[in-house]
Amino acid sequence: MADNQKMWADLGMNLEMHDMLCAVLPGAIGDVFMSQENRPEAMDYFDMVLADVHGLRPAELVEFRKNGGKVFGTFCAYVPDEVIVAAGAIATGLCAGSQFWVPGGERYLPANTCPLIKAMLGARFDKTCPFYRLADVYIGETTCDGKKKAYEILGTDVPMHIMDLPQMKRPKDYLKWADEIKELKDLVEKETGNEVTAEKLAEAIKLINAKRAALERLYALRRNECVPISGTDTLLISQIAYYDDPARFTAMVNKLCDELEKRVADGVNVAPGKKRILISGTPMAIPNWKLHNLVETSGGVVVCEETCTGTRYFENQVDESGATVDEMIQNIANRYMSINCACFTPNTARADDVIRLAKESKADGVIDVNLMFCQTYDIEGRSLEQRCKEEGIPFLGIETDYTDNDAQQLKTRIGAFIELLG
Amino acid sequence: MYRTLKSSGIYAQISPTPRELSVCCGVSLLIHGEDVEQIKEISAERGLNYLSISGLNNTFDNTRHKYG
Repeated sequence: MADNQKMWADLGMNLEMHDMLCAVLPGAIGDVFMSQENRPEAMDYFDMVLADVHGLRPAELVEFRKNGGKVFGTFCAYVPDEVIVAAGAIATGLCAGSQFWVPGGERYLPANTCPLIKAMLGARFDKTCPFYRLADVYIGETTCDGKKKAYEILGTDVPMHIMDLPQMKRPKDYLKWADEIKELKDLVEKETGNEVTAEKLAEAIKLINAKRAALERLYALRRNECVPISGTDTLLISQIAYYDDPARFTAMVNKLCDELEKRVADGVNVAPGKKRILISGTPMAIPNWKLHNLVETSGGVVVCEETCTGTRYFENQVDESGATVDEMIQNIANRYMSINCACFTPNTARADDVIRLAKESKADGVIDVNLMFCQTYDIEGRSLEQRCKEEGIPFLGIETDYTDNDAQQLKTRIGAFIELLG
Repeated sequence: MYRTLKSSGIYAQISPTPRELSVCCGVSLLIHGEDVEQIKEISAERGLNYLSISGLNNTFDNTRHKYG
């Protein structure tokens, strides 16, 4: 365990400040995860990753870089890991889900900026996250105005590459996104010195497709009447998906799913009598477990997330039939453009997704959760509520941030909503 | 250690090392107090190493709603 301190010091981290985060996380993990009953055995792997979240994976990245490997930090479900993996590099999510990092971000950004963006800057400039120290290049994307401006500030301290995501879904926009992915390929080739060949890219597409398939399998198992795993545990898995080794992660999710299939067959239910809730909205980066914890301690069980730490991350596969690098890149572009983020206009397909997922998950109600100051998702909340009303699906809209201040108020609202579900 | 305990039918839960025991966010095993002697015996028999076994008066409270 002493090695962590040395590694963090070698990475130039602010140990004294990071220590404050270390002081609160074990307690939160105990309360949110260890207090749950009847958890699947195969959660042990994900518990281990979480228990040493700033130690285990960072140590692997340190070793990888020692041997000349390059690490690319990403912030968004639109950035295709396939291209990075094909160049022999590692893609790691740069999580920004804690209030701990927000004040540091507010030194650079207006207070009325989304907490995720503020946390991004706080984690980097306060030097309190090893992943932010280990990424050689950050890959940003134009999914919101706040991020775009924040990337300019990050770019003063770390090499940044921005992918210009189209905001409409016309045929020319799919071509434009493929061009952006080609630029990413050129960048990773230059940084790594490795060529992205057709063979390597095909392998990477298969690898990431397998990861998405494993998550799809996990989510399908939650649709059963007997819920074999809590939403809180599943959220953790979705969060870890962003930064774990893809092959190992896929194997561990599939191992868990084997156990869950047996649980379903044996009628094991982690939430008997609880109301089934679909959560839609903005991403929940690690360690943001607030809403799931509130719902699952208020008579509900989360059975699906229509978020970037949920279905938007893994639904739809990359067509594996491409023969050339250009064909494969277009297939990658087509898959990633099928994600329905609120940054697009029009974006009615997202509401279609929520209705479909609510029906597939047999959800008793939808809770739409948006991070404060996330304008596009906030605006979509209204039309989403209308669509749910038309379909007869109870709906609750929530706006919140990373603080604990509103937890009890939210608990009252969520508890009342679940009670009204009958 | 974890696998050995599980295969011996002893309760063990992978968890973060409590703050009171380490400042490094390491991994610990959460065990039942009544199993301590048996765990010590098994560890000695099989040559399994651990830094220490400590008891803490901590409880998990899923309604505390403090998330760090």
